[in-house]
Amino acid sequence: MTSPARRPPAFAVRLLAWRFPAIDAEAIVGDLTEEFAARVARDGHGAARRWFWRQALQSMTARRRDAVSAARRSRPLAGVSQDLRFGLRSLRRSPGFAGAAVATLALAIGAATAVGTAASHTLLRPLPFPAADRLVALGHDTKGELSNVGFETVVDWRTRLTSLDELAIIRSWQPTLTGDDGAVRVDGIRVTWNYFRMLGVHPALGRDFTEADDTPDSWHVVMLSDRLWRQRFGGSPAIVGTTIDFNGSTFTVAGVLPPTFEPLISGHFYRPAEIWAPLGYAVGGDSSCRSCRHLRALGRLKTGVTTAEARAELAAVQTVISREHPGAYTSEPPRLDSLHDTIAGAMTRPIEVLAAAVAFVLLVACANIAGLLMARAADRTAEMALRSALGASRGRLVRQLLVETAAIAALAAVGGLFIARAALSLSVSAIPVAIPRLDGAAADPWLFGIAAAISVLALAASALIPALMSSQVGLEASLREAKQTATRGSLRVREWLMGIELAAALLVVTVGGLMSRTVDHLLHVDPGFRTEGVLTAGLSLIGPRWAEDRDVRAFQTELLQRVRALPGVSSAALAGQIPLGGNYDTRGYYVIGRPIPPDAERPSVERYSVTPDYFGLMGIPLQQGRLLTAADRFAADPVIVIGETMAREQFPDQSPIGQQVRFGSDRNPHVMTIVGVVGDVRHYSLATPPTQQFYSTQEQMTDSYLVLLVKTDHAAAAAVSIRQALAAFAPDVPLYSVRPLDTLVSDSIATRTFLMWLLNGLGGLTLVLAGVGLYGVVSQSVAARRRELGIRVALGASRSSVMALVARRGATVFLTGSIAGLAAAVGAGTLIQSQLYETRPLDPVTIAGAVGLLAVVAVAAHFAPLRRALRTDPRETLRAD
Amino acid sequence: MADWLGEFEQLVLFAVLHKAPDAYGMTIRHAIESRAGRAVSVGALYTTLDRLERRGLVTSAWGEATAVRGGKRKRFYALTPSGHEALSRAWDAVRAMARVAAPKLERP
Repeated sequence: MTSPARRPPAFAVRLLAWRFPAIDAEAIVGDLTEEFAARVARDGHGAARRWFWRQALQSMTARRRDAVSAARRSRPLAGVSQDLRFGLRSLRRSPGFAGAAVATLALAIGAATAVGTAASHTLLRPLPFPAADRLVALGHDTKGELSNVGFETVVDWRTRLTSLDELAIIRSWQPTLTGDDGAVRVDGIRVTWNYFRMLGVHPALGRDFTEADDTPDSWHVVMLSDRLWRQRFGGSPAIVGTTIDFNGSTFTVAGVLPPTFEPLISGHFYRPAEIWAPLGYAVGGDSSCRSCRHLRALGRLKTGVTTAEARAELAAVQTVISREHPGAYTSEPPRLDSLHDTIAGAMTRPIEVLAAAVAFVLLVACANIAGLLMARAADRTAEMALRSALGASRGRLVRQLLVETAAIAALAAVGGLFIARAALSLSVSAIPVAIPRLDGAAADPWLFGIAAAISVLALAASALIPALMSSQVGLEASLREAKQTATRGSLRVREWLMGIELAAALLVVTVGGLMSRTVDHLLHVDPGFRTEGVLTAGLSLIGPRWAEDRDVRAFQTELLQRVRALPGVSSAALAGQIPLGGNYDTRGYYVIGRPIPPDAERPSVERYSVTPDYFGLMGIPLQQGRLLTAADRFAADPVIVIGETMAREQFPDQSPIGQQVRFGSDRNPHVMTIVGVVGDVRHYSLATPPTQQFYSTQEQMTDSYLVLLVKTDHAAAAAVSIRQALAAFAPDVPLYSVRPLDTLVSDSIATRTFLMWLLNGLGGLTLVLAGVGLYGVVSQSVAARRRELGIRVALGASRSSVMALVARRGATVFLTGSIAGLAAAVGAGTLIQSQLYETRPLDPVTIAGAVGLLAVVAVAAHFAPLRRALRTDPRETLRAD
Repeated sequence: MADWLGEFEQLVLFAVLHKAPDAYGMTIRHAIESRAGRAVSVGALYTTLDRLERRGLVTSAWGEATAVRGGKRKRFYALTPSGHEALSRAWDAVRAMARVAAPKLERP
């Protein structure tokens, strides 16, 4: 006997056995082994191994011989089409197997294709501008986010930065267009004149903005989107150079953008802009100061300059500017990001999480298909052995399996393609989350490529192991023996596959569970106000007609009177902004009687200017002092009510009542007296703790952008009658974003809710797949041991001992799978940590729940096979074999 | 019998004839390598042997399994009468051609 170390390389032997018909393989391997032994003695073990490998690899390319290859030499595809016909026939013979395999794989391919396409469409696709990789966004770094900048800061950057070709500024703008159908608010942007030049976009009609347009006196010039031009201006080319009136002013139309222009950028990004006008700022203007941070800066890098180089230059330049203007800047560093990343922004992580989840679903589906194929291969060992004996080569038999799997994968790919397209077109319209640039993903040509790639991957993953396993079937063994050894060998591998499946299922279920806990926590967060029966709507009072605050106040009084008189309306109020409303109206202030801090170091406070009914309508509780009343009029002493966080942070050991604070610039100061303290509201999102807040009356701080709040039992009817009431006395005022207050709450957690639903859906899918797979393995294992179990029952084994026998293997698989899954879940938990709220990645409740769920599935998968095992009739089983 | 033998087929048949009755994979290959100075892969050899057997020029029979072969049996090959005939026909042809051309081959 040769010692193990003297044996020829096992994998090379396996390769030869796979490559040649059984009848040749024996002689070939024998010859090589004999000479190998001689060479070990003569040349040493290493040289002999190398020789053996060389022989094996050279033999791979030798032309094969069998009946089929002789036929194939004349008709190259005859063998494959024969295999395909045979495969389809045998699939049709077992429709249950085929249906299950196609359906599970189609679901997994569909999910993976949808997520993969969404990811490539929104995250990977370059922005639709020339040399878009050179576009960057600049600002300050506020708590890890890119934040806005003041005008004079950007002017300094523009003159000093050498790494940029262009530096443009944008700000949000919502003009009101009036037409036959009343007043409509349009999303627009004010941009510096070089904005389109920076993007590399040219108007389809008319001219671009020029430097002369961009001054405080000359900025009444607009650029229209193709859509707005066609819808509101009839698509006439004659529009260029004419004037249009809106916001009570006259604007000249400079040009119309091409229809292909994707308006990705607006005030807050994502909301497509339809109309553009020059910024019209000048140094020294009212809104131009360095701490007036309401602008976004976008730039184009010079060719060859990297983002990192530009970032370093910006940091150096800002250090100098900060030194030149002490007190104008906080300690926040400047920040420069690629525009692409800024736009993909917040959705990057959720999409990555989803991509990881579908990868695991796909893994489970492939493991399942592999398991199914192996079970079939084991069932068909006799058939395979017979065909092998009749002269079919092993390669041929493996190819047969591959072709069958390919047929399954092809059917599944078609199904998956439909699922992915449906999911994508549905998600563009139905999901409550603004995923930037998802439009058109369902028609993205990459969809097909991604589906094909995923299907091929799935095919390879599912067929590889069964194919290698089946080539082990030896002819020298008798047919029956072959069947049993093959079954046992394939069972071992299938148990491994099951362990992987269970681990992946546990991982996906755990991550879904973490998101569920997060959403649950968020739904129980007290936002600080009551949403029931409250309808909100936006109004904007802009243009010369509303230039005087007095007129705005008169409008407010009349509007509230008319709305309160409407049927079904129990109360109404106005506010300059509302919590979760997406406005971030904040003011810097300081407390009178304390040292005056420099501009940049003044604390910032959210400003809510409201009518007195606001507190009752929103259910915001009074904690100290008094609320604002109708007596706090324009001419009365200016007063404010503050939130509890502001009271706690500014007046920790004294009563805030009667204290005075100062807001506004030195040119236009507001000194106001605190008369009360109310509960906090959550402004940014449910997950963000409240910050400092104060309330004034609209009489004393009048706003031109307003939110109307109405308490009503019939929101739909009220929405119609409010619109009519407004049109009756102020037809030039647009009413927009009419929606119940509770949708603001649900929208603020929409991304997480969306992620939760998808992850839980995928988790359910993996659980079902793993359950089906486990059921298959247990059934096969019981069937393979039927004779043994029968004898045991015949010899008087108790039911529980038979049960223990069957369950023991399942339990081992379950335990190893669970441990591996938990280890992976810990890693995954940290991946989604940024999406979690008051939930740790190792949340014990979630983990216990997920393991419990998995255990239920595992037990359920054992139920039917166990029953079968217990009912085993020894006579029957012994006869059957 | 319209078949002509390829050059490698001729070498294989010569080697089988030479090594018979001990002609199996390893001895055949060694004969070709040492006499004709040609490295032969075992795969190519068996491909050719199979083809020759299908054409009825050689026959094969299984021998005994030995430990040094990892428990695999030897497959012995021998020329059939038509193998004999095909090889001598090929050899005759080469010899007839060589008789007239060989002198030029040696003195170019």
